[in-house]
Amino acid sequence: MKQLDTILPGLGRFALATAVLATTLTAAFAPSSVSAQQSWNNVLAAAKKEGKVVLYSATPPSLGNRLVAGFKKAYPDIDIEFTRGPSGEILTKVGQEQSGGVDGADVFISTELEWFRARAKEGKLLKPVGPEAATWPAKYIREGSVITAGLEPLTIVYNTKLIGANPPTSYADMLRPEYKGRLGTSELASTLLIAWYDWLEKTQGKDYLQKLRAQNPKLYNGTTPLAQSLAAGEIAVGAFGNITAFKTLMDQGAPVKYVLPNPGLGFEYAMGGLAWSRRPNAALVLMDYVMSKAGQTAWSGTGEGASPRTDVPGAIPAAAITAWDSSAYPPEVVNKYRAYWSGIFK
Amino acid sequence: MSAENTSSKGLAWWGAGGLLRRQVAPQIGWLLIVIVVGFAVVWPIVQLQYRAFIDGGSAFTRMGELPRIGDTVRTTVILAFMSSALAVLVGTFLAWCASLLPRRVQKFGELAPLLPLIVPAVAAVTGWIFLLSPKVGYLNMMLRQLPLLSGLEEGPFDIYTVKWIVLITGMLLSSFVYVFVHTGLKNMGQELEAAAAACGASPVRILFTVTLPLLRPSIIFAAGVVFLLGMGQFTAPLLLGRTSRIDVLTTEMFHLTLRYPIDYGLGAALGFPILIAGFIVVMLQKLALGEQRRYVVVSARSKYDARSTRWWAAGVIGLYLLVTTVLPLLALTYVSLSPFWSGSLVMTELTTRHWKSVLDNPVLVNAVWTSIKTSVIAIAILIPLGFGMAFALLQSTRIFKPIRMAIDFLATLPMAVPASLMGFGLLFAYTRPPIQIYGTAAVLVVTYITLMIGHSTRLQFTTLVATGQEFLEASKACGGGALRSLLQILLPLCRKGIGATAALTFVLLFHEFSASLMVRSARTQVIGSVMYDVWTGGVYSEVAVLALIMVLVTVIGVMIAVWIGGSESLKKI
Amino acid sequence: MQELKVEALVKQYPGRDKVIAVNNVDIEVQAGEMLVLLGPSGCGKTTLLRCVAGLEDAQQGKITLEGKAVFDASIQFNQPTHLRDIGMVFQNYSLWPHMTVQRNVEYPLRARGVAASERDKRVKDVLEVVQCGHLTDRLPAMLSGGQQQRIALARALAPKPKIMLLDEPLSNLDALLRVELRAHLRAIHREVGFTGIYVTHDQIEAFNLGTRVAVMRAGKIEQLGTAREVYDRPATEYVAKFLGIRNVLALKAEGGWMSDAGRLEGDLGILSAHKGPLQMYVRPDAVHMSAGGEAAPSGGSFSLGGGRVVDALYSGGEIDYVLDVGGQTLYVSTHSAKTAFNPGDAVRVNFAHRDALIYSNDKLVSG
Ligand SMILES: Nc1ncnc2c1ncn2[C@@H]1O[C@H](COP(=O)(O)OP(=O)(O)OP(=O)(O)O)[C@@H](O)[C@H]1O
Ligand SMILES: [Mg+2]
Repeated sequence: MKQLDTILPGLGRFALATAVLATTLTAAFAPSSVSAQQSWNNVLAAAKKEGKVVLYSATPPSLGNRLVAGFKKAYPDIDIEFTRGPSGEILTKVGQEQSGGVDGADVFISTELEWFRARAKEGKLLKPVGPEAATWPAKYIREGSVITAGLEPLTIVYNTKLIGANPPTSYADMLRPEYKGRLGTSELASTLLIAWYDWLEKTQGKDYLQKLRAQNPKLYNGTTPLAQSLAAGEIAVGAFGNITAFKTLMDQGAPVKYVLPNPGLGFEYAMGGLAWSRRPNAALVLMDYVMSKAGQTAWSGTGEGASPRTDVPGAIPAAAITAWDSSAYPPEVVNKYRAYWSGIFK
Repeated sequence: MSAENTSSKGLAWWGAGGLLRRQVAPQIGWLLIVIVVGFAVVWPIVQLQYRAFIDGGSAFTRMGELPRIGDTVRTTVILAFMSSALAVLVGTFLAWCASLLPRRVQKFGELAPLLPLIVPAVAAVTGWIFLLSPKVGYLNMMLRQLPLLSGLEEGPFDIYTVKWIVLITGMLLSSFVYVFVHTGLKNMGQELEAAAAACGASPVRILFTVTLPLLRPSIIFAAGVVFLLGMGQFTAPLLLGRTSRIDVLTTEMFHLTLRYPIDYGLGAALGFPILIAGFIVVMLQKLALGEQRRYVVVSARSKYDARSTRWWAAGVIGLYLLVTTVLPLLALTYVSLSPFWSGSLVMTELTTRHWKSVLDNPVLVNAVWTSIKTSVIAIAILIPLGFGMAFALLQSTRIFKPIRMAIDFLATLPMAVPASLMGFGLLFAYTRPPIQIYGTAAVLVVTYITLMIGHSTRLQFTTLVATGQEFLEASKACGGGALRSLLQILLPLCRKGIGATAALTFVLLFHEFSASLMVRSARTQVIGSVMYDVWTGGVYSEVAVLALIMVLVTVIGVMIAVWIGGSESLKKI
Repeated sequence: MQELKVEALVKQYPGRDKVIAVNNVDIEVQAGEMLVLLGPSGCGKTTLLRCVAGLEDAQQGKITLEGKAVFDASIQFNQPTHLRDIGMVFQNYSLWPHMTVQRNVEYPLRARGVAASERDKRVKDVLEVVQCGHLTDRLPAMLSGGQQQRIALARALAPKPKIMLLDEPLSNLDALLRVELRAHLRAIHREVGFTGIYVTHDQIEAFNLGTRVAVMRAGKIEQLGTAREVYDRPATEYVAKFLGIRNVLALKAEGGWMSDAGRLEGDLGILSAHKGPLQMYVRPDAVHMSAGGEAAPSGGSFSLGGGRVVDALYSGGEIDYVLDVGGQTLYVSTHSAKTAFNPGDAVRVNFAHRDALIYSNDKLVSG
């Protein structure tokens, strides 16, 4: 197949496209689960022929590595290549791969839900056809092809050595006088942060940000540097963080604890198979794996996040997480908010 | 003119010395270089800037609407200016100290100021954070043990301030200045200083009246280079500037890439002032330097070691080395052996598990190899290409002027574009026809060549200028043809400079991550991009491990480059 | 046959001041002849040599070596230097610092494909000639200035080229060595029979070596002739001055001839053909002194009275006098055998017609 692909790329791709079309059609119109199983087997066979799958993901490295390891175990015949990176960077790459028609990602995971929605509307995402897709909660499949593969709550974190009794439990606690100068929060490093600050104002009161600013917090460039500083004791309390970043530190024995504030905000990771992929069958197989119990256990079984599935041991229940609504933050809003936020914090 | 001459013999087109062969044929070679390099350099930039200028330049309007954009531009220029001024001062002072080194420590002492270069900027800044975080920085904690400072809860230093950003950036850049000024000093020989001494000038007077004026081209050149690097650099502002709310253009650009949809036009527009500044700097450099030949010092390298030496010079260099390299590396080493950056100096919990996990990671091992392979291939192309271009720049008559100007331009342009910005341009350029090499290792090589062709050319140009034309002319007069002259005279004479260029290029490439990020793929990870990943989503202990591995490989690479370039010539001179 | 011919050569350097370093120069050097190029610093000697070597692109003119055109501006032809079979000593030596003396000297032989055995012999021989046989393994940086110069000479001589271009090849040597090497050069020249241009500042060297001498002035050839011709009859005042003829009398016809040193006396018949101002140049050793009271000699000489000895400098067999004649300083050098004068003595100076170089409108009109 590989050779064919290089010698006759056009023909190879055409053949693949037909195969996918065929399987998709079969799946869609399958009258019984027997033939659904049959067509899925075809996809599996085609994926095996394709030989590998390329995953681009904005998830933290540890999470991505767990998924990759799990997939390798589940499908030893399919090679998996994994590129991790910040959403913006891989988004750009995926976009360029699409417009240039070059070989690249097959499956893409990122927090930029709006990108997936736009692609899905253009029909540029593969419809998940695996057995897991059939039982995936409808709430977590948008536009028929954008899958919410995992959710994470935003947390408050503190250094247990520096904060003994009476740890903070809510965003209101961030304003405690004893935290003045010992607090850390994040720069507007992504749209999620904009949504979060916006949400804080809406839920904690109009002057919350002013008060937070008066605490003279240290600003970090995202969670990771904040987490490191917190573990080191440079700051005692962090107002912003996702569990994964702290989990890695806690595993190393760092004196860090997180609490889920109530009310709280969360975010979701969207996953999509790219229709221009050179290996659409393998892409479908990978997506199916991520949605499987094994995949979801690898994803959130450590307690770092929530799964749309209900049968994942150790995961936070998905219902507890209100994910931010990315559609409410188009570029104009974002830019305006940045100006507003800078006015307060800088 | 005599009557004979005006007889209508017609022009001598071909044959040895004929017009075509002498004038036109060589131009074709140069033209080819201009076209190939021109494509590599200009195409990505066009791809990028095009996005800034479509829609009637609406990107610039958007840029004008950014919050505090005026402050940002001002901060960028001020930071670049102050840190490069500091770098020039420190670098020149170090070069002067190196020339005063006692013979016993001379060899190592001359290399020492280059050592900060082997530490990748991210690692160096992270190392400094370990040392100088106000509450838990190791150095701060130790200083607080002193009786005078024992009352303090934090400090005495706070790394998250403008002062420290300037200091650290300046220190990081001072090595570059040292590279140029030190070479300039070496090429100058001691006879000119000795002559001044014979005229009754004191060492300080000699420094200000003879040495510094003669070093002017090196210093101006270095100042320009570090100013550009300062404009384009963002590691320190990004890692340190947040807390003190300092924004520069590059951090703005960086933040743009973290949002969807990415406004590439705005990114390009943000890069535009840097591009312009780059051009102004290069033009000023040209103006200030004027005719390069004026400064060609007839290098009658003296056999007399007439230098007066000073032990305090060794002290200064030692201190510099301690502060810029040893301390951050120690901090990195300690953190790499800790389970996490703990902010305490308890040695009981040391562990090698981060080393193990990093070394067991096949992705990392692959990345190291990819980095080495692609850098070496790129250098193998960059060195001769840069040498050729530098040579062309030096030829005042033989090369068609537009071609020479084009080469000059191409050697300048890449230096004026920050790598992070160039990364996007490269991505745009190589994911689509005519050259679709994205996803292969070749795109990394092309990226490296594009990023470094300017440095390669300029560095070798200074070498060539210092070498002087006369040796080449002597070879021709002795009957040596072009190839013989090149192989037996020019290359051996420039060997040290070429070796140094190769070493410096290797260092810069091996540490490169911002452009590589954009063009890498899963199979073509480079060490810089892996390090970046860990830095954005891992534990600082792992960052420290990776940094140390990078330092180690860099040292080996530099040693090989110097060995190829200079061991023999070092011995001889 | 002319081995080396330069016709109407013009070389202008680019740059703001557009120096015309060589301005319409014509030179012919016969086979086996060594032409000496004399001239003050900056007059374009080196530039002319570089044009002949092909290291510069001249704007106009033509250069022919051994009957073949190597440069012709009118057809834009300029043969590359390395194909011209020349030997050149650079003013600043240009020894390659990374090569030993041996390697430096054998380089032109290698470039010409001379066999190894022959090569070693030639290098050895030529190093003997310049008395540097013991320096073979040294690097140029480990040589004295004079040694470097001799190695540069050896390097140029080694391949026995047809054309030799020597740019002040002996300037850095002590008097003894210079005389000795000059003799060697003459011998080699006779033996090899190369055609050459030899640049020097030193007129003794010039007259010693050159069959013919060319004096340059601001890019032009001022005078070209045999050594004797140039010495005896400097064509212009410039040449006379350059040759160090220090006594100059500016003469005006005012019922006789007046100079700054007073009225010219003696036999003035040969000046009768001239009306305008004249410049008279006299070498110090052609001037004779007599006691102040004596009369002007009667025939074949000029004379000036009213002189006074200002200073007398004894140097070896000669005495150099500095005189004040009517307010102008004149110089006289005499053999001490004659009667000596002391500072303060009144003197009269006399010089023969044949020793007076008389210029009218910068043209030599005497003799
Ligand atoms: N590369 C150059 N660019 C511009 N002008 C030059 C250059 N080289 C020489 N000149 C000028 O050309 C003129 C002739 O220079 P050249 O070196 O030929 O003099 P020269 O007679 O050899 O003097 P010297 O006896 O001092 O060696 C001088 O006025 C000099 O300043
Ligand atoms: Mg000269």
